[in-house]
Amino acid sequence: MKVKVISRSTDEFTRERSQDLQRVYHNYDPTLRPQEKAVEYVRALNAAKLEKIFARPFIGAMDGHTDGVSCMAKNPNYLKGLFSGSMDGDIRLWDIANRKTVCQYPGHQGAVRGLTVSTDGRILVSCGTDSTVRLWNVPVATLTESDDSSDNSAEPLAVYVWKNAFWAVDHQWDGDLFATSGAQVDIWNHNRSQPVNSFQWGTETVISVKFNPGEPNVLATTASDRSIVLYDLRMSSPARKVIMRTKCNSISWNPMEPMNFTAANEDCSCYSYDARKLDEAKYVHMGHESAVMDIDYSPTGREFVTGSYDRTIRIFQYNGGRSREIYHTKRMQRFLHSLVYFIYLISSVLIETWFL
Amino acid sequence: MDELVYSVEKLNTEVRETVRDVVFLHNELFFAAAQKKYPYIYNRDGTELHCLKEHGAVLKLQFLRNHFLLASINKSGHLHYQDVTMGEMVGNFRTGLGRSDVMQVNPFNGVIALGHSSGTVSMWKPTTSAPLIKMLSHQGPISALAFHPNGHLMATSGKERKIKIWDLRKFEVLQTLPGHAKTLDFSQKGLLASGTGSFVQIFGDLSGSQNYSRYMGHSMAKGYQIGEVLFRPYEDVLGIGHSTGWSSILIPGSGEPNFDSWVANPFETSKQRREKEVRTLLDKLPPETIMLDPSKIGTVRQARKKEKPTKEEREAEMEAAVEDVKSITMKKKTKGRNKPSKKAKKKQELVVKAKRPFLEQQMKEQALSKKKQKTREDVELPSSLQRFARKKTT
Repeated sequence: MKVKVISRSTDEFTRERSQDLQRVYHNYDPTLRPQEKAVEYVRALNAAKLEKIFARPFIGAMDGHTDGVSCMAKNPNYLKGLFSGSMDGDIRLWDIANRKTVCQYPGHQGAVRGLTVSTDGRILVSCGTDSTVRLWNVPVATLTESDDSSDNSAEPLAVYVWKNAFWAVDHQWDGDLFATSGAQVDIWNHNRSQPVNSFQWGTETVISVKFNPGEPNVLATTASDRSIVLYDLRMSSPARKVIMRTKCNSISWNPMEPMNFTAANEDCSCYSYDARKLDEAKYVHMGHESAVMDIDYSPTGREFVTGSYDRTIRIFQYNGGRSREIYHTKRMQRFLHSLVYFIYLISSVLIETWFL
Repeated sequence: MDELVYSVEKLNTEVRETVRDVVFLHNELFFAAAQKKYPYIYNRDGTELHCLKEHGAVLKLQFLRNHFLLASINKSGHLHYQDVTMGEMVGNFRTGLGRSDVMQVNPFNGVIALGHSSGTVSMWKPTTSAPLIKMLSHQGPISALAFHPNGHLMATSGKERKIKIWDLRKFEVLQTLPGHAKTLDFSQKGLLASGTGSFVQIFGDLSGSQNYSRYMGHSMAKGYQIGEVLFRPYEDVLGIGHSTGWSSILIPGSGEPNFDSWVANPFETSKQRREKEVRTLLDKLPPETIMLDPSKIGTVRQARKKEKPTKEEREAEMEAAVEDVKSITMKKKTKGRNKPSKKAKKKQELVVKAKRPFLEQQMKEQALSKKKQKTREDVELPSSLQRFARKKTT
């Protein structure tokens, strides 16, 4: 009887020359790989973590302003265009794709506090601490692309001087009215040098103002007396008011569900409200470690981005209590009121740009 | 195996004290030895790297390769799990079943089995302080324990001269073999080696129906006391450790002939070994993945039970059934028996018949809820006060 026993010769199982590849043998018997399912699970988890570590959300910095950037606005008709205003009164139009200044708008004395673009994308409205509202012509997109010459400056279409310094401005989504805030809320028309309407509730400074994207006559403001006030332009007086425990620095409407808005509060969290039911917040978004300075919704209305005094940017789900993503870099500083974050979400690819 | 024994020999000459057990860590460069007072970790050259004082006087050591856990059972019956990558003590449990020097890890799911002097086998995982399973398997103390590499078979031997083979899916005895075994081991191909005194026996599942019968036997020179038998993986070799050293014998058909270079490579170069170390460290499993049924990992939890239909839904269903009955056209009967009144009566009967199952269901549920309420009422009063409760007028 012949009995066979395993015997392996080294020559058979190793490479002949040192330049050869190592020989590889496979045996797919599951008993050789115990707990394979758990191992695969851990591998998938590690791969997801590594992908997050190596993701690079920072696209690039745009250099040019000589002082801190205080406000930004995006052009609703031309996604490559981005306006920014700085503390020294300088307003620039940027081409995000090329990261270059397309146009400069000199004129403001003192800080620019608010920027907004009309719905058709033709007119830029700016306001500042020098108590002026300036209207500017936005160059047509095709022209700016063909024009590769150095920075060209523009003259304002109109300059309206008013009684007090301004803190914020927002344009109606559908119409030609815009609202400024400061000591009171003023509603302006493009063609008139005086506000067409003024609202006041209390004597405190109104910090931010935002028009409702669905209902063109409704706007929300936050004031330094810790209040959030809703206005309706068809009525002569403010509509609703909520007093919070701490001040709200900024407010943003959900563009897809325009009855909902989210307020960025000093107490490190954001509060989402239903405008029809202001007695309690629908969601509280926690996570920041310092006052939330600004907030902006993504065009899909599913997420929003917040910037905080703790030098981080966070992305929240519209209904999520905790942030989905945190970004921070060394260069981000604690600029009080002057750092405004801005985000584009284009088909789930995150293009993010921040200014210092 | 050769190397292990070689190291132990060398160690014995070096440490000059009892070494109760040795176990390799994730590769052949490191091994742990359970010595008189504490377990120690040595490298290949015999240099002491660590002294694991928290484990105490350890009787038996096991290493969980996928989890990088070193498990030990000490003299006072404490089971310790230590993560050898970070040195963290993952688990420290009092077995409460006395001194035990029989410990084996199930390679299939990483569960550790301990054999106790009461004849019970207990199975442990590092995340719970109570045993997963406690099974009374022998009348007397358990002397040895071994797991089949596929994890479904376990062999135990007791001092009452019986070897039992268990099916771990049903926790039932498959087979009881006569004879005593001081040590047991399964080979990669499923042969079972048992050693007692100076005699080694090999049992084999020769028919393929999980019916183990004697395959080979080997008797050593008289007076040799066998301490441990261990199959060498990927070789047809059985190593026997006994009172005067160690021997190895050939057992044809015991080892896996085809190795996988990515799992265990007998011809591994040092570069490949280094790469493998990094890869296995990346794939290190958390201790929570040790469970009796590892196929649960990566599955979705079953959906909740279907909710009861609401009242409206139930009514709509009943309505539909009634409509169905009503729309049946009656057969024409012979003259005189085809009266419209009879037809209407018949139809009415059918409607009642269609409604009945729904109404019965409703009644049953009502009765059930009433019963529940009743029991709740009963629960509210302590038994001593129930005699003062108002008698129900029914």
